Amino acid sequence: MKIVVTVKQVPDPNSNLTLEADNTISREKEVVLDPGDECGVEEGLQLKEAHGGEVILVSMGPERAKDAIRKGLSMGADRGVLISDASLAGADALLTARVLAAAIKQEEPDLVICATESYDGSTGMVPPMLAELLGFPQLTFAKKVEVDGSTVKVHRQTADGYQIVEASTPVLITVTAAIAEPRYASLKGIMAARSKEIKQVAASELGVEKGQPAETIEGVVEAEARKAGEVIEDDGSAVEKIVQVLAAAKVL
Amino acid sequence: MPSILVYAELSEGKVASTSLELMTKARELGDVYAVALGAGAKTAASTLGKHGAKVVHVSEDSAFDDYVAEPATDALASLYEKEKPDLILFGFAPDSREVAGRLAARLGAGLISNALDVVAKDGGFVAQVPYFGGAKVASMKANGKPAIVLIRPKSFEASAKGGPAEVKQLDVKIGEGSKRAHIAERVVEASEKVKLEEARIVISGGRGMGGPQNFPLLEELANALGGAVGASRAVVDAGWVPYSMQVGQTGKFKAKKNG
Repeated sequence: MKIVVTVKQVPDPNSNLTLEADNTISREKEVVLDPGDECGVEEGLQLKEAHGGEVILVSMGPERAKDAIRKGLSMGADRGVLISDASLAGADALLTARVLAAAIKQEEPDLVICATESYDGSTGMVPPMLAELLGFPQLTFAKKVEVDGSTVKVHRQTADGYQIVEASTPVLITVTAAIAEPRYASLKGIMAARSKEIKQVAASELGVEKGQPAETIEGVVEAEARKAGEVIEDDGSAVEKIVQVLAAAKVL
Repeated sequence: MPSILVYAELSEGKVASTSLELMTKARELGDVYAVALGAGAKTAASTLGKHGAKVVHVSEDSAFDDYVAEPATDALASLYEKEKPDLILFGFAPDSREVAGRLAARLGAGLISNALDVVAKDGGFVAQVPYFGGAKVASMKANGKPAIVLIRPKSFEASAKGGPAEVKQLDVKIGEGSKRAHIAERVVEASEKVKLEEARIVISGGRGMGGPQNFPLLEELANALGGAVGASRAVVDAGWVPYSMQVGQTGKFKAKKNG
């Protein structure tokens, strides 16, 4: 089974974000593989271990996004593809999906695995767009994936439980953080990743038209500030104070 | 007057509350049309009329309930070609997100996701979108034709202001090629706990809890207060608690008045 996992390099969740002069989010601190994608890579690896095949990581980003791909390769993925092109900086969801779709089509995968949404953008729009452009059905919000021949079955998380949704390959799956605990890269894996192939592709080679972005940012203002919380130290009267706070908030 | 099409998500045959909230906004922006797909669509049309829809396009084809996203995308794409609405509004909810994404790709229109508000400006639409991890709010002008905007739940108050809507049967045939992601079974995990989305009080925990072993303390407190426990994305990603407990930007949404 040929499995493509989409991966993205994102700002470290533990660092502070900064804005560029044109109001786009600065990518200078883009240093980690998206934690959601780590779960996608893990699920891809588990499916490969159970059913055989190949796990290919596909990413769009600047040159240094190779580091994110390398991280996935050190976990055990077989090879990577990076679409890197200065003209793609600040791409919206649809352009991102078009570029990824063009690159993924060349691989002719049975399965495409995406995280439900990226850590930084959080719009969750690339996966359904990608499924549409590839012409694949989508099995989404998966907390469990089962493959039986050409049938893929997922447990799709819902507000009050889950649905069992199935489709025939090729399919696109989005996984939640509940799908699998990402493995740590072993020293052997890190060493092996150094010699694994990361193919670099220019956007022009894929024949994707850039087109007009879906939105133009007209301005950015500060969100309504959240008030600092009150810390109540327990000097013996804390219970009483907390009860008063809860009563004032009409919670009691 | 611009024409606004609202995608009414149905849940067990009823219009989802998020969709009714969108109707309030749509009334401000122009002539309101709605589309309701699947079992209960005709009943839903009357609810949508009461919330301001002039026309509701309906189809009760079972394909809409049995297959994920693709049949609804076909129906909306076909409706767009006929009616050419200026703006299509979706709630930022799981099912709507999937349909909106496929539709935006099929129409080549793009979209604006996760918006807090949308206003008319210079003959077009500008959406307010949380930005920069929620610390800022960006004004984004929609360039797509049509403009497609997904709005977060609880952004507006639903209110019944309207009369009967004209109900139009959607003339669309869902082909076998769109009947692919089949919903074979729906499993409800019984819970006696208060549902997070419906809770009047939410006790939310983040990294400050120190570890998953301390979350039962919040459960006890929530039980005592008749509330539910929520959690930040950081601790959900860390695997301390399940995704279903996540509140905030990408999890479940709570309006201030409820909390």
